[in-house]
Amino acid sequence: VKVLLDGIAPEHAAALVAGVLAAIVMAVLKGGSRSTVDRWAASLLAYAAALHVFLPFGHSDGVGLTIALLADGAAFGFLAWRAHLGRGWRIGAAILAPLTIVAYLIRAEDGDQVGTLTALVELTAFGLAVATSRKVGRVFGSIGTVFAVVVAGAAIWVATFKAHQAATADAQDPSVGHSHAEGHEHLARAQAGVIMRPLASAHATAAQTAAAIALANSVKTSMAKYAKLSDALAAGYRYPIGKRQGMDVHMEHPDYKKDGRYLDPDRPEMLVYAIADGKATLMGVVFVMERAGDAGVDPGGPITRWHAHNLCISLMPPGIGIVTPFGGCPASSVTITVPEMMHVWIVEPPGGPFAEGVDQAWAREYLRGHGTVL
Amino acid sequence: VTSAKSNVVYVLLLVQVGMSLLATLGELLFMGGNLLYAVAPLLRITLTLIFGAMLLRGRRLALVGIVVLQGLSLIGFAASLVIGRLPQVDFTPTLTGVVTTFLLPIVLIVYCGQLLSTSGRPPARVVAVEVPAGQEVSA
Repeated sequence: VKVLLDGIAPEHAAALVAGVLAAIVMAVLKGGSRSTVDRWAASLLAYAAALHVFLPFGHSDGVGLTIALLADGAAFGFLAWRAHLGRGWRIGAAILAPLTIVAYLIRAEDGDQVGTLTALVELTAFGLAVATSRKVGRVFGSIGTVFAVVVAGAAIWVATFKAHQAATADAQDPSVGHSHAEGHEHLARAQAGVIMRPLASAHATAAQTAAAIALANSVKTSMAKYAKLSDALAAGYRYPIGKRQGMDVHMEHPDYKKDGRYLDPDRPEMLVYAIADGKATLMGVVFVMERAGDAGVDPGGPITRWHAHNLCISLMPPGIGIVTPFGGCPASSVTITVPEMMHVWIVEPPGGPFAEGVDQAWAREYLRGHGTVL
Repeated sequence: VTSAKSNVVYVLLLVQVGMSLLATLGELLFMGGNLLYAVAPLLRITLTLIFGAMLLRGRRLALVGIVVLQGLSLIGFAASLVIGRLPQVDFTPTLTGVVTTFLLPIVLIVYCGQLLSTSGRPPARVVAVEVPAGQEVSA
């Protein structure tokens, strides 16, 4: 339950409650249309209306955005009432719902779970408007609904992973917590393939910064012994299944994953190599917690931030995917979350030693200059 | 069978198809574009669309098919919960995940169940009764 609540940004909680209550009230309200389509539309539009009206209570936005949110809420409310009465609401919903979603995507709003759920509610209202009426043409309406869900979901997904890649935590920069706080909070709430614990504080203390620098230096010193890929293989690290080339080949040590030691610079659970064109170079390490669900040890506070992945494990054939922003997986899959992990890079990439990822082009260039022949 | 409720079921299925397509694209990207990974998801998507179309034509079989597909979704949700009890992995409940993989299948099963019970019922017989003028009619 705590993880579920972590996905709800505190500033969106009041709006979510208001939205759900409005949907329930509209569903039980008597005296309206008896059509199930109208009643569903009324409830979904009422949710969107109340949510937008209550969003300004949690945000400290400018006057312009507050007015826009209230106007959007009023428009949704008007359409909800018309749907309740069984009067024309379809054209309005078919225009307003996608417009609202596009506006959020353009503004690159923090994609927390409330935002994603609201997008889904609005997309369903859009579907009811365009795919249940012969006026639009059911085939076009149906295609439009599926297309809108895919495009909106993909846009939220891309924004989430872009933020994940862009999130940096440079131990050399004491202001890291402040400067990257927004990006991190985005990652913590979206829960679309990446699960992070919300930060207690986005500001690293002097002690935390010093601890983070010490950890990075310690890892760099310890990992000199695995500069050559052959030495890592001899020590027991193994290639991942089906991947022996690339800029981020994660090599696991099966024994270190269950040795009960955490954040040991001498025994990282994974090594990350860039391997291509007959050359290889060690880029960094990944520390992995032994048990899924256990919080990672973070001596550097917001600088040394751990993350987990919620994955789709498909059974036919065996494979891996990532949970979508809508929380789903493909057919014949189950959803799991792997133990928390943290990268520590020894090659000083852009973003610093604790960046979530390394730019592929940068890694390729680094390999060209520093790789050793296999 | 075709009714406003059928229309709602149809739209919810469309939303589900969109979400499934997105998940399939994600897995394809992750597995290097290997189309084998698209076979089972696309089969499910195709079946969902076929049942959706049949539902709008008033076919009773479509309701049974939708119930079976949604039942499989719920089994997948339950399997994720059980597997998440293992120490090596966890299950992360998310707001959207609970809505789309648990509540949505339940809503669809309930609606299809209601439509099935309605469609299986013989049409009510209407009998005209002549009432003398001035006499009240009671139930």
